[in-house]
Amino acid sequence: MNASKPEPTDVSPENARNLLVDLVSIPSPSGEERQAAERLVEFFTANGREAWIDEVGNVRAPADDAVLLTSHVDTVPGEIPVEVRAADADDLEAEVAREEGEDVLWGRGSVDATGPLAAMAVAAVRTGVSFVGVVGEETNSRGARHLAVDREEPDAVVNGEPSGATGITLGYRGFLAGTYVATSESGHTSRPEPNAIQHAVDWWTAVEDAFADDEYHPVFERVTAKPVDVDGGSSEDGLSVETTLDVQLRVPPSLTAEAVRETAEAELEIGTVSWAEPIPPVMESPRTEVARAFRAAIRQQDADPRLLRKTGTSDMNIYAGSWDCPMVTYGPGNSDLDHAPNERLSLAEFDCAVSVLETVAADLSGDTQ
Amino acid sequence: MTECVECGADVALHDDLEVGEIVDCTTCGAELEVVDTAPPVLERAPELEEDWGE
Repeated sequence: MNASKPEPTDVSPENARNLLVDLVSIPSPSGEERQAAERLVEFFTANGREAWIDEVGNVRAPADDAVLLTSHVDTVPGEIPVEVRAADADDLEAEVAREEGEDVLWGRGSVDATGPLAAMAVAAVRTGVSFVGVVGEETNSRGARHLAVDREEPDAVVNGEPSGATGITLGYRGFLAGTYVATSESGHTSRPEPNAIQHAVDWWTAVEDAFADDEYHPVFERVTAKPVDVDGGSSEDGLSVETTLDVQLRVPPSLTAEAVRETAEAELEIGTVSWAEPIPPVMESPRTEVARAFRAAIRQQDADPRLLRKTGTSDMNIYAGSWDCPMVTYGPGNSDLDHAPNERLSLAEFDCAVSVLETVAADLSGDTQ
Repeated sequence: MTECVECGADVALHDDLEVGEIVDCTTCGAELEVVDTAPPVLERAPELEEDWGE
């Protein structure tokens, strides 16, 4: 949907911070985003913008599609008491704050990614550009997957994740998840024949060896193979040994998820693997118009821009797989605190990120600031 | 025309230069970022860093 451009509406710095604190205060683990989504809709409608919750739970606020600002509404689980504390020496050492005494907001999602989400909502209202808050990013990216097929391609995308207020993320590795299952006949453990558990271990060892790489090779350019869950032992009737092994592989831009899957399957001798729908890797050029606009906006804040490529995966991978427009990922916060029990965000950094996003959106939509 | 901050060679610039744009030094191959346009000022463009997570 490419709606006409609404009039930009001023949002005071105080109201911007209030939106952030409200959203962090509302628990929104994946699958339970509704209340936070309603708070976002309320924010947009109170500022004269059309907004609604779509059939999968995404918050949609279409407007000027010169750029789409989008981040995720959901967080990982975990209750961290929400409060604003004065920054101390630990915050400086953790590179959360620049000065002791500045306000730091503690709470689940403050970094990943409610900070980027709130900053984008404020910037979208102030500049009249499009906004979507998506659901399910921390599980199966169902909100982004729905958006990518349900919406017209915008001219540019800014995906919201913590890059730090001076960081611009251009790349992510892809993602491939699979479940290995094997069954063997039960027998006395003194017998030499391998059982299903050993088959699983053998397969996974072979897969890790197949992707073993020089440790001096950048992690972003390697395949990282990781077992994430395992279950095994005698079946209920005692007649067999069963094993289930869940695995994840991160895919560098030099490979396709299909090539990684084929390599893993080539090591399979016994058992079967079922694979989930893969997420392709993404690596954007630093020379796009949106990357240029970010560098200029960050320099306006008297800071030096940083260009990042991340070893994880985000909804930007989904958008890059569906849309050809230029895109980057951006948002306030130190990603070392993603999912951490001490997740917290400097409010000064939040204000800075709002200003950067506002400058970028105005630049890309043809307005100058 | 302005100087490459890496090798000192002249770098030809087009008329509608924008702040944030990346241009190449055709002499040494350095990637240079335009940090001002009036007059043009170039700095070495930031290099790509690796980071964890999302």
